[in-house]
Amino acid sequence: MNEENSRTRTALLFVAGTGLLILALAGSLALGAVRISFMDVIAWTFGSLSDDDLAGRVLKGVRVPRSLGAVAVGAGLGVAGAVLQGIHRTPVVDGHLVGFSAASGVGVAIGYALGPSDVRVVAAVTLGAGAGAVYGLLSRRFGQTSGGPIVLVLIGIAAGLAMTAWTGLFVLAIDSPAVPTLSFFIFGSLSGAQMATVAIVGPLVAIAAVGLWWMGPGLDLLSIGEQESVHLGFDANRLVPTALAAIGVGVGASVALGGVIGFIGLIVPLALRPIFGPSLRLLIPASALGGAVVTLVVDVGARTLASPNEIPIGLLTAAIGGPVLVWLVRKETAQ
Amino acid sequence: MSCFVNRTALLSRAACLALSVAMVSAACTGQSDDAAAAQIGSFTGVDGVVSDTMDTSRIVTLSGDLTEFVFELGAGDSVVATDLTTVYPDAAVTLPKIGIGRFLTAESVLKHDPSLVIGDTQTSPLSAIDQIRAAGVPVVILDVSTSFDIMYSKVTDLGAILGTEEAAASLVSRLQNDVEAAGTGRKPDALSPKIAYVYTRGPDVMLLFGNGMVTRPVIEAAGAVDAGSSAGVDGSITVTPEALIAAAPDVIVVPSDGLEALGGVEGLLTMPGISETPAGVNRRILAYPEGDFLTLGPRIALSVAALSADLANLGLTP
Repeated sequence: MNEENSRTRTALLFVAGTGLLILALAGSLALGAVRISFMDVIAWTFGSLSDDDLAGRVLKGVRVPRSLGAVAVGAGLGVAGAVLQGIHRTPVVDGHLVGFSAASGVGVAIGYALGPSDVRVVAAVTLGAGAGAVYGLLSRRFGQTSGGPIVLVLIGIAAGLAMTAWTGLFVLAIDSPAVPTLSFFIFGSLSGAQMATVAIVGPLVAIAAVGLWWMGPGLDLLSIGEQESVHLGFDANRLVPTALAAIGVGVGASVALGGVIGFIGLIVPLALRPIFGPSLRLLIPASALGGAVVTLVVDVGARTLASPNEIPIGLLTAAIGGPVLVWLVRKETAQ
Repeated sequence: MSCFVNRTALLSRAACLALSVAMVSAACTGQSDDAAAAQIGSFTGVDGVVSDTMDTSRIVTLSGDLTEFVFELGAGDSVVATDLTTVYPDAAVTLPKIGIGRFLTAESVLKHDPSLVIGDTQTSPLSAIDQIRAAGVPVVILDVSTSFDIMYSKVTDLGAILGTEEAAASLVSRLQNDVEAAGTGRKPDALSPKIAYVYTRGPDVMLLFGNGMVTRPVIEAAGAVDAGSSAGVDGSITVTPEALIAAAPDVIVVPSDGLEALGGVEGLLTMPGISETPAGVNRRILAYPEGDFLTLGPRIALSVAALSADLANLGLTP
């Protein structure tokens, strides 16, 4: 009886979340420097708006890649945050904080210097996954000691700052219009999203998310206690680095498309955990959905608040996310 | 980094007017009637991208010199928006603005429903150009004029794009004559005065221009050596006292608005390094509106003439 209630509730929450996603998508397609009516968005979706129409051209060339890109980026960051918070048994950690984004940023910068967009994605994902695996191995060494998780996070932060600096030096040295400005590697931007990149990033985020969802039960047990999980047949020494590498794939793909965007991976799972509970089998899809919705909404702000200029999306996520984080952490610790 | 946004100073307007009168006879013969042709064949930009069947009915220009040339070639009526570096002609200044071509966003351009976008190799980021192309709008990329020869071939290219080849050909020969007439006709050598162009918008932005910047050909046409280029500056660098003293300019040229923001010549002389140069010691500071001096466009002969005249006044040219 009780379990059935909670199942119905979860199902309803996901239906509501999907509704929000559709609303946010529609808003993201309609709003921007060029005014496009919701009717035009609907007409275009069902193929009854020609590409000769200005609205049709803007949707095809700019808004659709950007909006689908926001979904992929948000989902990738949200899932990464959810799993990292589970592994660390603390809600104040995400892929940005522990330097996975910065490592991926190094990859993106190198990729830009090498050329086409798929190289960029591959380089970002490789470095993101590499950072995840290294972090995972370190976590096996430090994670068990007292204060271990904090030492780990500090290592991640320091490495991240150094890698951001290297990226910056690299970008300044290259000084080419083909490479995005330094702002992209610090505050992110979905402004340049193109379908060719979205078409690679989307599936990569999906693969990482499904992989982590599949590892979910094992990771859940870890967060209860290492000893217990070993008794139940999970090898934490293999599982944790693998999961962290998968997180790196998701973060890397996100960074290749949207640059380094903070706070989304931190706040979305933190806000959703009290609603969906700590189990990753629920929290991963919920965070993917929530991350997508939040990123879509904030990106609409980034492109409309100072139209026709753009505000880097990371400035908005940090400006709003910082205070929200403080409030959420206070609420959490008060309970 | 630097954005060349400016209001044209009254003085320069007056100077323009005076010189325009002198040039009217040449300019009038340049207008041709084939500007009406709407569909033109394909054109390959310097980025290697081929634009087919260009429709020139709704044009957006992404830098000031491009705007001026498009108007000069008689296609001004088709321009629907320009970037913020456009300061001339008045008809273009009052058009909607898309922001700055170096910090382009696709939607700010697409908003004006253009049929053709004309930019140059400084248009940035490339992803915005790709997005505009993905939206089905051709973007033609031309060279930035870092020499008069590049400027002349750019005019020829614009003539081909706009279907105004004849007007372009006569504009090129007019410009060649004007620049030659405005300059000192002297080739810069070791004895020529050295001029440093320092781009400033106030105490926080001080850039020394060098090789590859639009200022070098103007300085050389006036018979002077570009101090930045001869000090090995590629593009522009943030002014450091050492770099400036090493460049040892006899004259420093700055944008007039920037000089005003610094508090005039006195203010500029207090900036580190300036007063240690020969230009600072002798207070040889010249200021021109940046929208004129930094736009290698149809009015550039005016800047060459002004610089040549001012050098003569300073006793720096025979």
